[in-house]
Amino acid sequence: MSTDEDGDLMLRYARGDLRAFETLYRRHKSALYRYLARQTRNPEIANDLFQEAWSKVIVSRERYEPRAQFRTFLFRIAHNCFIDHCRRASVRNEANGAEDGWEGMLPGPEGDRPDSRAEQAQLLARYRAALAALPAEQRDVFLLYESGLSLDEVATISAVGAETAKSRLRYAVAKLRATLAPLNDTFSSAVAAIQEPGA
Amino acid sequence: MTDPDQDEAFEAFLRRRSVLPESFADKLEPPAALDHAVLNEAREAIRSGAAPDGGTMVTAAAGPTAAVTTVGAPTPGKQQTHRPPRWAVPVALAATVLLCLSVVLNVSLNTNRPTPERQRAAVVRAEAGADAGEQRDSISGDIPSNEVILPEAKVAGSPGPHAPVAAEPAAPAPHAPMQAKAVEHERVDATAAYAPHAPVQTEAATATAAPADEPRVAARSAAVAPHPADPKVWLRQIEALRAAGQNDHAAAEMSRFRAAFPDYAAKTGLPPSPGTPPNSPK
Repeated sequence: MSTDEDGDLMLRYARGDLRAFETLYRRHKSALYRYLARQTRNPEIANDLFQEAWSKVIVSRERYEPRAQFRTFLFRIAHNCFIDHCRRASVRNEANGAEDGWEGMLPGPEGDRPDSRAEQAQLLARYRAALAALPAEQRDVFLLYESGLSLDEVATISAVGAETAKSRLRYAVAKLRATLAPLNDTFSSAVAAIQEPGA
Repeated sequence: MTDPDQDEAFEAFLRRRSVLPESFADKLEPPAALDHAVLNEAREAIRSGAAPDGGTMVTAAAGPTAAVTTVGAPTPGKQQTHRPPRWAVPVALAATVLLCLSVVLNVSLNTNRPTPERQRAAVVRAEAGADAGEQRDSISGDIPSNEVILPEAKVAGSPGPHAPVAAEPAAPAPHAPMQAKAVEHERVDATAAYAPHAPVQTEAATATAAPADEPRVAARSAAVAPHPADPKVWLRQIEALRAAGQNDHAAAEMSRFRAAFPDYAAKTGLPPSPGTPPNSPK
């Protein structure tokens, strides 16, 4: 997937090619949905924002100019949708304390071994708490980067400089790591399991 | 200086993009219904947008992920050329509204605008008022509301109740004011239309004028106000005025009659009017 390819797909969709849109949608739907789901921690809100973001992409198809990567364009729309949602409903503070929607909004542990599930459930609970405790800016940068965007793209979407984005990301990772430190074994094994540089 | 461990963890995160172990497989996906809704919206947007020339939307497969292709769709540049510019509709609407407003304004402004006939009538009346010594009060209360009064116009005062109506160009003698102005010192054309109330108005003006000016005023009144074309009708009116006790008016009318029909007066042997020469001034 290249920038030109995504931009070309969007341009083709603007000219009436629905197949191009389907290709775009398949490429980016998972990452976008994960980002929104973890931002909102509420499946219903995530669904709404997900649909709203794609609706805006659809509506703006004729104005689209491939000056930046389509992924940046898409995530910026989603980011703004989330910001607007927070402003509308003042849910940012509510969401910080919300626990209802967490289930299913974070990756679930694989395997059926009861002991493994208990360990990983504990890790997830800590991770969830750490993520919720992050400042909104750091959490936003962290989730954007986790969604697969580059640091430059994250900086563009967050409307900050690249160094600021990297700094926020560094703080976020440090806090998450500190929170997960008590489960050092699991986390260490996770870090050791890094096998795909640049993935 | 930062902690080397933290740097290492951060670098690891930058590579792996997750702080969670790999065993936490991230299988978060949007629901199928959401996929269906988004794709439907995209399809509807294309369908409701500018329809491709000759192209038809064809569903290649059923179900939420149905592939829809455009058959016979034109090239992108071709389709763009047939799409009207975005500003076309607002500009067209604005132009239409502006045109309608200008038409309405023009019509409403011209409704009460004085016609040339009315302006001439006002000028004639102003002249008549000036000749009568400019001793009249304003009779604006007697003028119909739709009649325009020129600022410099002086309307003949003390008219009868029908005087303004008699001067109206819409009266049965539409050419009377124009004729009166053109033949101010001539005898009025005998074919002038009938205007029964006009003599009353000019009579009132004559009655208030100085006695020395009577012949001139009477002649001018004869020229200004139309009279019956038939001398017998005019004489009957004069008789009616005398019978009603308006002897002054009757005398003035008789003067006008003599000025208008000198031959008729000679034939019938009407008594000469005092102070009026047998032939009216020309």
